[in-house]
Amino acid sequence: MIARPESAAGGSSLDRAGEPEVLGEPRSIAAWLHGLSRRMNVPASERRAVCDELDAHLRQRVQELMLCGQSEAKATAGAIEELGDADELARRYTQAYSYPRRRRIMQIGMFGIAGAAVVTAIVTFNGPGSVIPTSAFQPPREEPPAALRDIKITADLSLRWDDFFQAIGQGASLPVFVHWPQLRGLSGGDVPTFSPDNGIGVDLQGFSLDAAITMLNDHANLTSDMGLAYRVQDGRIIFSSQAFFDRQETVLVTYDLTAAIGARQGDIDGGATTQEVIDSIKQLVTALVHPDLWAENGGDLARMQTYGTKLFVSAPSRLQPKVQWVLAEMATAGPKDHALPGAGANIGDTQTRVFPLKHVAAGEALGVIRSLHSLQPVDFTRAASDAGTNSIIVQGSADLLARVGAAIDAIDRPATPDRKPVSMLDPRFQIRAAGDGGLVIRASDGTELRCEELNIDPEAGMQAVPVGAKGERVPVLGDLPILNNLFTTPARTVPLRELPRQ
Amino acid sequence: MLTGSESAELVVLSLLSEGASYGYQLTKDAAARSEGHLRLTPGVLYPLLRQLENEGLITSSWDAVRAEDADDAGEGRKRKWYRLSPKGKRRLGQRVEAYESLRRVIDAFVGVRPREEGTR
Repeated sequence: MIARPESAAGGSSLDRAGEPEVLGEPRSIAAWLHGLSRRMNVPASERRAVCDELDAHLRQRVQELMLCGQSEAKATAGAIEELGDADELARRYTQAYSYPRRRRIMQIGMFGIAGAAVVTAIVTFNGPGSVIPTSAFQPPREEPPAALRDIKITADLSLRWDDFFQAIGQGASLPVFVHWPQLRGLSGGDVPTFSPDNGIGVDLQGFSLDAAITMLNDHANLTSDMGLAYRVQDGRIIFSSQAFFDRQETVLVTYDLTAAIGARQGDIDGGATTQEVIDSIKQLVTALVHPDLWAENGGDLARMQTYGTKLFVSAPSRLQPKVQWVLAEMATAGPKDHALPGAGANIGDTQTRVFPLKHVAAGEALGVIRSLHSLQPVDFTRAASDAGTNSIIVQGSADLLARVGAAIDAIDRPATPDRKPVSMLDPRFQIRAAGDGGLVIRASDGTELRCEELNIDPEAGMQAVPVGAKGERVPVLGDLPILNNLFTTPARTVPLRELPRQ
Repeated sequence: MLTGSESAELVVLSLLSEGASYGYQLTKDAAARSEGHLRLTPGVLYPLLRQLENEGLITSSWDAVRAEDADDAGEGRKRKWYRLSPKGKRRLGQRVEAYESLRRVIDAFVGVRPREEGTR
């Protein structure tokens, strides 16, 4: 049952045995919060924290509305209504609570490395029409320790974590040590997923230990980089977080970039500075090799610095072979090999294509096409920009690549002086260039506003200057700005609601 | 580049970069900065704060509501304060950079007319 604002204000729909009653408090707030609490699929302590915070919010809002002259009942109903549907809010909270610890790549999408179980395949190109993958990184296949190799795990989802670990130890005839503090930290909540008395939450039927851990991490919304891991050390099985082992196994390695820099600079038309090439190399590595771990992407397990042509990489040892491989590939592959229009390589159903750009910086253009709603099916973690050749490299199906290509064609155009500045667009409006060089904003009801200028200012929000308005600005906006429709076809429907008339 | 949720994240992190704050104040600050155009609804804001905390971008602590802020029924209530973490500062820098990149790209192909030629 959802406590709607109307009924909540009356305070009767949720009145029943067991309902919390708080003396002196507006009953509807407690009832609504109780209803919300029951809908959230999070630990009890988290539910209490959410309700405490929303309670403080609601009371302050009610007080404010009453100061504006509303009755307490109306103010209460209004404050609750502002929170929206209880089911939706509960869903958002549940989702936020279990938000994957994986961090998204921020600026530069590269070929995705979804986890240790995924083989990273990166190709270089020989030329259009006859593309041959020349190299692919294959992570060394690590056999599990002999004691664990033949273990098959079958467990009920209610099996306690402590019993789970101990059973593995018994199966392998090895003592087990569990780093509970590290494991508790993985879930971040007050009642962690990894706690001795919690159930493992997944039914396992005949899984190897590695497969079981992959399943368990996935269930907890943890990537292999951030989740549960194990090692066999000194005759014991040690379970801890992957981050714990990564810190133990961090090594400092230097790489000589001379060859990679020479290969890039020599083939770039107009040349590129050494620093530009080094920056490009660093971007490539931090986007390709376990992106979440790099300090450049918000991580704290891997970092790099350059001194001259030396690259110093401090990272878990498991990353170093991948770094080395990427750098070796860069040293042997000239950029023109990558920049052939329409060049592509097929690996299974997936193709890789390079789109060279002429007018717009590749990194910025990639960011724009990632923002286009019409391209949302594209997995943009499998896309990269190469500053050296000013190209965008995308991996995906032929259909997706065609759509990306069309978007790039639309984006990669020279600036024309008669067009108007646009800083940010709102998805609820269709915006197109007018014949005379102005802009036309079209609302869903067909209303059109011709503008001299459309701008968003951090202080003033999005505003338009209508034609003939003598500089007077009108607000055009509502929610959060997002670019999504500037480059799409006119046939595309853009939802919106309001538009100020002239 | 910025999606809708990333924009909300940018707004929240920006506000918290100016000092500790709590949910209700964040909604007010966002509205005030945008002259009412930008509305961080509580239904969006609070789950977002939880997510950012989960990611380690912000930290939180509970504090008793001060008497001058509380109504008669407010005594004994507490308020959850949020602060930007070092990791959150880095993320904010990345978000700002993404925003600037987007703006530069749009200006590049739509074209930029000097401000003084505009009608403002």
